Amino acid sequence: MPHSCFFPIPQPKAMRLLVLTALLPFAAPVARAEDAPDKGGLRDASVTVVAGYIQGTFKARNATFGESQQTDNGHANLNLDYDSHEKAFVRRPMGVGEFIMGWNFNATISQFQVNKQLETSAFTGTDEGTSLKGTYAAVGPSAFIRLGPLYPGTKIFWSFGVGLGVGGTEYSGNAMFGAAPGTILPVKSGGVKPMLYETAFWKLDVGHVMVLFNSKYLLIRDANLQSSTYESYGLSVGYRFTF
Amino acid sequence: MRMLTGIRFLLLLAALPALRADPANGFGLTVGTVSASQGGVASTGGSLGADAQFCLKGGTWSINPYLMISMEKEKDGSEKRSDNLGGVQFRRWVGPVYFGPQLFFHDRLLLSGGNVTNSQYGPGAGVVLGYEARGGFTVGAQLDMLESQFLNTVDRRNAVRVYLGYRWH
Repeated sequence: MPHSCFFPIPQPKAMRLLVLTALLPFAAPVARAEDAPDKGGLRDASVTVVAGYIQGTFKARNATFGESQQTDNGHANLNLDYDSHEKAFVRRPMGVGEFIMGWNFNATISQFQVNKQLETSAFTGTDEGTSLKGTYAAVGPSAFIRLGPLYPGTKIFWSFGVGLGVGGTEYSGNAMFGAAPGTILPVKSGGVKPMLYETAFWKLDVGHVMVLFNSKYLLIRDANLQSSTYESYGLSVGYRFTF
Repeated sequence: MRMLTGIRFLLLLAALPALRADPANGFGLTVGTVSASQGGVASTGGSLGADAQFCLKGGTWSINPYLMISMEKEKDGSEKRSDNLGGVQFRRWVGPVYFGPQLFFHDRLLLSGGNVTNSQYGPGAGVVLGYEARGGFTVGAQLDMLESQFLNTVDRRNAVRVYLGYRWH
């Protein structure tokens, strides 16, 4: 069964993560508090450019021909996120810094392209000559927990959060439905389709730089298919521009 | 009965006042072994982890978000498996000793012939116990329990990880 999870990274990618995490202590000296304009652990509005390595899977179900699960076997990805000024539900002092439960609004825009059919493997798709490409944008509120800073006088924070929103997506291509050798059919949104958007993230901020694990899930309303979803997960690095 | 006694012991420890509790914030790395059982199949292997320790005011509790990966080999088979965790530990400190519950999300990969043949994922919970010297060296163990593919209890996995590590205060 293909996965949709918060931390489903195969060994080589997980190893990259550990290496990145291990390097974070050495990044601490360049993340002094005076470098960032934010107040305490709460952030001002920001735009973040996020680049990473993710795996995305588009799933669809046709009433006649059955299911299709098409992935990209992992790929480099770039997306743009907007975060509004953060507000706190709860703020409590800690040994260093504070514990914050907060919320804000987010907007995201990204693209996807899948071209490998999941057949016998949960992760690795097989090239059947199919391809599907799309773009999506979404907006909605997020709730998060943040701890930090990790060291006095630095801007190293850990955050975990979830978000829920609405948006639109447009895609076109084809996909193989049913067990291999299945039936290849065109898949086309025919314009922007509405969708629900869910995300979960786990991240370490080091000043304006962040190491981010996140999963994204799009539930797409497409009258041509019984159901269609796109899910992605992976490890990314981002740079946050505050204003 | 044994588990109840253990829980009572942990509750008693948790109720004690801090005995020179002196945890400090910092990044940590661990390396160790893992022994697991899932559906009657035992596996052993190595484990690597990284965490960040955030101490609450007073120093008797800390919150430790962590990431952990393992590479295991089945005892009676050729297949390998890997269990990757992203979670958080809630550590109660009594002097340099810590213990407490943990919650995590896991992704378990079954590997055969170099290929991932299956993955299972979902939430889990457990407990952690360890010792951390002021210099930063640490030794600890954690039980990863209740790992299941969400509500599937048939193929549930339990594991013990024992590790050595260092924290940069």
